[in-house]
Amino acid sequence: MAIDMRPRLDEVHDDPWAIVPRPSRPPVPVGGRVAGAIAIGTLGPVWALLGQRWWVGAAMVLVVGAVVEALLWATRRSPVAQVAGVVALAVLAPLATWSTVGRGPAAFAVAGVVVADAALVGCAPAWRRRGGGDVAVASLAVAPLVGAGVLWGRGQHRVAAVVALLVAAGLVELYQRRPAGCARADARARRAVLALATGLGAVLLGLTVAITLYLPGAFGGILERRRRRRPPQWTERTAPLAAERRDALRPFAPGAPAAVARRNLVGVLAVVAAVGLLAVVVEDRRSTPPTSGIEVAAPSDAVGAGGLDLDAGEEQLALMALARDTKLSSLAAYDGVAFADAMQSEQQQLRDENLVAADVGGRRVEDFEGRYVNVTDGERASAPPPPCPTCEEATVWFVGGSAAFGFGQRDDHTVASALVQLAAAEGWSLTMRNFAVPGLTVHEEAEVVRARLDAGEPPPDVVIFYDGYNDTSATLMSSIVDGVDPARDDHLDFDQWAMVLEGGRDPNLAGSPTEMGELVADKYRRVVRSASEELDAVGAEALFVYQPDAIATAHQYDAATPLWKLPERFRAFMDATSDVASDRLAPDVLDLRNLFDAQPEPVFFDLMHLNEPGGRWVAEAILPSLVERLESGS
Amino acid sequence: MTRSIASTAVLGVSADYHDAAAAIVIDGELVAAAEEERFTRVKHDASIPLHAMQWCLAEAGVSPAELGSIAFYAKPLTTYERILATHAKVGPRGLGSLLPAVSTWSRSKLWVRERLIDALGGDVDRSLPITFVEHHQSHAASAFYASPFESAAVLTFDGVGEWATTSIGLGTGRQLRLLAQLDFPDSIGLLFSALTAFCGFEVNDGEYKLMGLAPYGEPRYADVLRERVVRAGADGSFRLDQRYFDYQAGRRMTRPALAALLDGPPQPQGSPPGQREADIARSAQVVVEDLVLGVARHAREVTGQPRACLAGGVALNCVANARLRREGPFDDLWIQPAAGDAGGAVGAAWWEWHQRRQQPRRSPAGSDAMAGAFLGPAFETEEIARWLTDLHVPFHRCDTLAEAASIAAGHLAEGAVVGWFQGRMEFGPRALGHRSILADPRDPGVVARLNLAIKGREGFRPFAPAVLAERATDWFELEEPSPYMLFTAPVASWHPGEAPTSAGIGFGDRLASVRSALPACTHVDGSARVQTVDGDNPELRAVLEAFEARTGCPVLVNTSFNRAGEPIVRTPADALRCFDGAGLDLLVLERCIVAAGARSSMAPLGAAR
Repeated sequence: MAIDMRPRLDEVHDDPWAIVPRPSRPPVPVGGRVAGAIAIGTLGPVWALLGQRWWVGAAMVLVVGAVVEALLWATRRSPVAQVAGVVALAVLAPLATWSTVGRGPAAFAVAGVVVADAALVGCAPAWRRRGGGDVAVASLAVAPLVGAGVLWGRGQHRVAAVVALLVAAGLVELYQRRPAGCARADARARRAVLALATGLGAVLLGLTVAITLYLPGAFGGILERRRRRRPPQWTERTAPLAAERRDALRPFAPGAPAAVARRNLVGVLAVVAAVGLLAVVVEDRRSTPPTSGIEVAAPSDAVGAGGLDLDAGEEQLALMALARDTKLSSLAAYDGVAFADAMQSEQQQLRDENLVAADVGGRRVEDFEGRYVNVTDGERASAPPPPCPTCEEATVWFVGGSAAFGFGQRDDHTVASALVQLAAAEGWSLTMRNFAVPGLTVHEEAEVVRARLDAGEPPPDVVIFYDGYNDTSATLMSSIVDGVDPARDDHLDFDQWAMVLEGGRDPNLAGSPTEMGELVADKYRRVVRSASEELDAVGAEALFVYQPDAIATAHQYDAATPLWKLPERFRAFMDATSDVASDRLAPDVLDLRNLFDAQPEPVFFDLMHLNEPGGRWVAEAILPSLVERLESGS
Repeated sequence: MTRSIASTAVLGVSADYHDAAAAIVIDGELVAAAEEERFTRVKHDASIPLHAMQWCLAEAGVSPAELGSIAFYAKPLTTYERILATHAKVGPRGLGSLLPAVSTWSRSKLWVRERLIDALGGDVDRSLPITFVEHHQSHAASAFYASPFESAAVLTFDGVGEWATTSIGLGTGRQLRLLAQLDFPDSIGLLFSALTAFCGFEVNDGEYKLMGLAPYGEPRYADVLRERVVRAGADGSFRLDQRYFDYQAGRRMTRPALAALLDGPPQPQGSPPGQREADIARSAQVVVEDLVLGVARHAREVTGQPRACLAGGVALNCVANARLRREGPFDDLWIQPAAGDAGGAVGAAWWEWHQRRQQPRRSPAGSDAMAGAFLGPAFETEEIARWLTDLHVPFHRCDTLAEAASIAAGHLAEGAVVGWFQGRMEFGPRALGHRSILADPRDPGVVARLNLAIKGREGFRPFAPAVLAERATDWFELEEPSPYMLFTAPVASWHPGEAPTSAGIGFGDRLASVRSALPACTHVDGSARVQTVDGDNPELRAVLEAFEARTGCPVLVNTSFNRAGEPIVRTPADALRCFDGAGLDLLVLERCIVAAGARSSMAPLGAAR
C-alpha cells in the first residue's frame, strides 16, 4: 500500500473530537421576539394614552417582561433568578435615576431595557455574566428604546418618542437581517460605551480607592521598611481543622485574629471614608440652591391642599391616598415640568410631617428644609426683592390656606414671590412674608396675623388675605353636618366632607346656594371688618382676595385631576355658592374667582391649587390693588 | 449507564489564574482529570474549565445532578483582599494594574459559584455545596493524598495563592494540616519568575527555559542575591527585599535597583539569552535550591517525618528536586506530577473528600494514586481507524501493541522522529509516553532537529530521556525511580572535560558538542531529566523494549507531543495536525500507523515487524 501524500487536516469538521462551541440558548423565532417586544413595550404607553395611570402601565410592562423572560428561558436558567434580576433592575434603576429624569421616565427606560432584553435574548444579568462575548442584547436598539421611554415619561415630544420606538424596532429587525454587520457595529458601540464607562468608572474608582485604600495604605512605605528590618519568620497556622472544615464553604479565609483585627480596622476606615464621601456629596447636593435666585430669608407658614385636613374620614382618606399617588408630572398643568414630582414629594412630606396642630389658627407648619420648599419659623420662603435703589421699600404679609402657601409652586414662584417681582417693576421693593398655613380659613388667618402683631413683630404695610375656597367649603360642610350657625367661625374639617360625601347627603340640606353664599359672605365680612380695624390701628392696610378655583371654569375643571372631581351636584352647589359669596363680598374683597375663564392653558392641578404660571397670573391680578394700598399708606 | 454514586462524587476545579483544570474523585478515587487547555487549544487557558468539567463527568459516568459537591482550589475573596491590600501598600504606582484587576475580579473572578453552576448547565442542583479550598491546601492535598505515604511532611511552593507562597504541612492518614506558611510577597516562585522575566523569558511559561539555561552559566550573582535580595532565616524562612521587585504593583516583575545588582537592564523579552543571562539563571537556580533546602530542613524539624511530598509550581523544578533528594533531610520524596495549578483541582477534590467530609483515605500500599498521571481522554483503535478511513488518510493497522512498538522502534533506530499517541492523556505538564514525540537519543542531530524544526524551541535545551526502569542505573546515576520526569540525574557516560565552556560559543553549539552516549538527552553539565518507565506504562515500555532489542539502548528521547505555543495534543486529530505541521516521520495512533509522505511506502513498515 503506497502512501503518496501527507494527510491534511485543516477543517475542524474533520475532527470529531474537537470542541464544538457551546450550544447557545434555543433561539426564539425573531418575528415572535420582535412582535413580543413591540407588543409588550407599547403596553405602557397605550395604557397611558387611554388615560390610565402611567405607573400601572409601567408595572404591567415590567411584570409581563419578567414573565416572558421566565417562560422563554425557564428551561435554561432559574426563573427565580431571572425574575429576581428583573425586579432588582426595576427597583434599583428608578431609584438611581429618578432624581434626574423622574420616576416615571426612569421606569419606562428600565421597562424598555427589560423588554428589549427579554424579547431578544435574555435578562440583563445574563448579558453581564457572559462578559460581552456574545451579542447578547440588541444594544444598538436599547438606546432609542431608552430614549423613547425618557421622552415619553417626560411628557414631551411624543411623536419623537414614537419615532424612537420605531427606530428601535427597526434596529431589532436589522439585527436579524444583517447579523454580521450589526454584530460589528454592536461591538464598536460596545467598545465605545465600555470605554466611556471605564473612564467614568476609573474616575469614581480612583476617588474611592484614594480614600478607602490609599489613605490607610499611606504608611505602606514605613511598614515596608519596618518589615525589612524584622527577621523573616513563618506564620503559624493555628486554626483547628474543625474550623477549616467549617470555613471551607466560604470563599474567604477568616485568617488569624491579628489579621482579622487589621482587616476590620481597614474595613472600618474604609466605611468611615465612604460614608464621609457620601455625606460630602449629599451635603453638597443639599446646599445647592434649590431654585434660581431664591434666598431663604424670612419665614412663612402655610399648607392646605385646598382643604386637606389631618382628620380625614375614610372615604376622603382613600381619595387623598389616590390623589397623593397622582404625580404632578402626569397632569396637564405640569406637562413637561421636570421638577414637578420632586417638588410634590417635598410638599407631601411637609404636609405629612410638618403640619401640626397649634393654638393659633388651629395648625402651623414646622420648619422644613427642601430643594423646592423651605419654611422657617412658620414662614414660607419667598423671593427676595431684586436690587432696586430707586424703589420704595415696604413689607407685605401674605396669609391664607394652601393655595397662598404655594402648594404646587416652588419657593420663588408662589403668588407671594411673584408679587415681589412684579412690584419691583412698579417701584416697590417688597419684603414679602408668607405666613399662609394649609387649611386655614379667613378668621384663622386673622388670628395668625393678630398673634404675630401681639408678639411684637413690626406691623407690615399691607396684609393680603388670599382665600375663599376653604371658607366656602368649611361653612357649607359645617352647616350640613352641624346646622346653620351665623355666629360660628367655621374651620375646615375633612371628617365633615367624608360624612357628607359618604352618606350621600343632599347639599341643599342646610339651604340653597344663595343662602349658603350669603352665609359665607356674612361670616367673611365679619373678619374683613375686624381685621381691617385691627390693622388700621397699627397703620397697616388689608387686602382681601377671593381666590380663583377650578370649579368656576369648566375647561379648567376638566383639565384638573379626576381624583379631585366632586359629585356633580356638589360641584354645581359649590360653584353657585362661591359665586354668591364672591359677588356679595365685592368690592371689599377682590374677586378673582373667574380669573381663568379666558385662560386656555390648564393652571389647576386640583380644585384650587395652581401651577407656577397660574400663580403669576394671580399676582398680576392682585398687583394693582396692592400698589394702590401701598401708595395710600406711604 | 449512569452509576449510582449518590453523593460520593466530588468535582475539583482550578481556574482563573493559569492552567485551569478539572478532576473528579469518586469515593476517594481519582477517576479522571484534564487541563482545559487541551480542549480549547489555548495554552495555559485559565477560563472556567467547562470542557474539562464536562469531560470528567462524562468519563466518570456522573451527571451534574449526581455530584455531591464541587471543590474549587482557591478562596477568591481572600485573593481579592490580598490584591487590594497590596495595592493599598504600593500606592498609585499600582493603579495601572489595579483598575483592570478590579474590573476583572468584580465582573468575573469573584463569582466562582455562579460561574461553576452555570458551566454545569441546567441539570445541576443550584444548592450544590461548593467548597473553597485554600490554594496551598489544594496543593498540599494534591501532594499528600496522591502520595504513596501513610504519613509525611508536605511542602508547597509556588508564586502565590491567597496570601501563602510557601507552606509546611503534616499529613497523617486522612488528616492533612498546614502548620506554617510564608506569605506574599516573599515567594520562591515569584523570585524565580522575576528572574525569568529579567532574562527575557515569559513569566509562567519561561521558568523551564531559565532552568534549562542555568547549566550554561556560573553562579556569579548568587552571593549578591543572597546578601542583598533574599534574606534567609535560620529556620528556612526567607524574605525578599521589595526594593528590587515590582510584582506587587503588578505591571512588571523587577525594579531598576535589581538591574544595578545584575550588571545591566533586563533582557528584552524574546531576545536570545547571553552569558549574563545564563549566569543569572544559574545563580537563581542555586539560590532557589538553597531556599527549598532550607524550607525542607525546617519541615523535617517541625514534622519529624522522614518522608515528604511536594507540590506547587516550584516543585516542577527537577534540578532543585534532585538536589533536595540528594542533600535534603528526607529519606523519601514524592512529588505531585501535576504540581502546578492544574493539580490544584485534584487536591481540592481530595481535600473536600477527606477533610471536609472526613472520609477515610485508602491505604496507599506503596503506590501513588495518580495512575501514572494517565487520567485524561483515551481513544479506541477502532474509532481512530474509522476516522482515518473517512479522511482517506493511508494508514497501517497493527494487531498488537508489540507490532506497533516494533514498527516505531524500527523507524526510531533509523533516525525517525515519531509521534506516539497511546491510551489516556497525561494530566500535568509532562508527556510521559502517551502523548509524546520519541526519537533516538544517541543521535546528536536530534536536538537541533527537534528543537528548531519540529518543536520550535530554543536550541540550548536538551530533551528528556525515557529509560526502562530496570536499566536506568546503567545509563544514569539515579538511585530512585523517576516515573514522572521530576528529577535530574547525571548521565553515566558523560565526559565533562570534553564539553566546551568558553564564552563566545553559542549555547546550541555547546550542547551539540557534549560527549555522551546519549547526546540528545545530556545537558552541558552532564545531567538529564530522566523518566523511568516500569510496567505501569506498558505502551512506552513496549517501544523502549523494542528499541533496545534493535539497538541495545533502552533509552528514547521523550518530549511532549505539541509544537511551540500549543498545548499537548488531546485527540487523534490534534496529533495528526501536529504530525503534519511539525514534519514528524511517523505517527502511531494506538494501533494505527501513519507515515509521512517522504516515506512513501508502507513496505518498510511491514519489514520492520
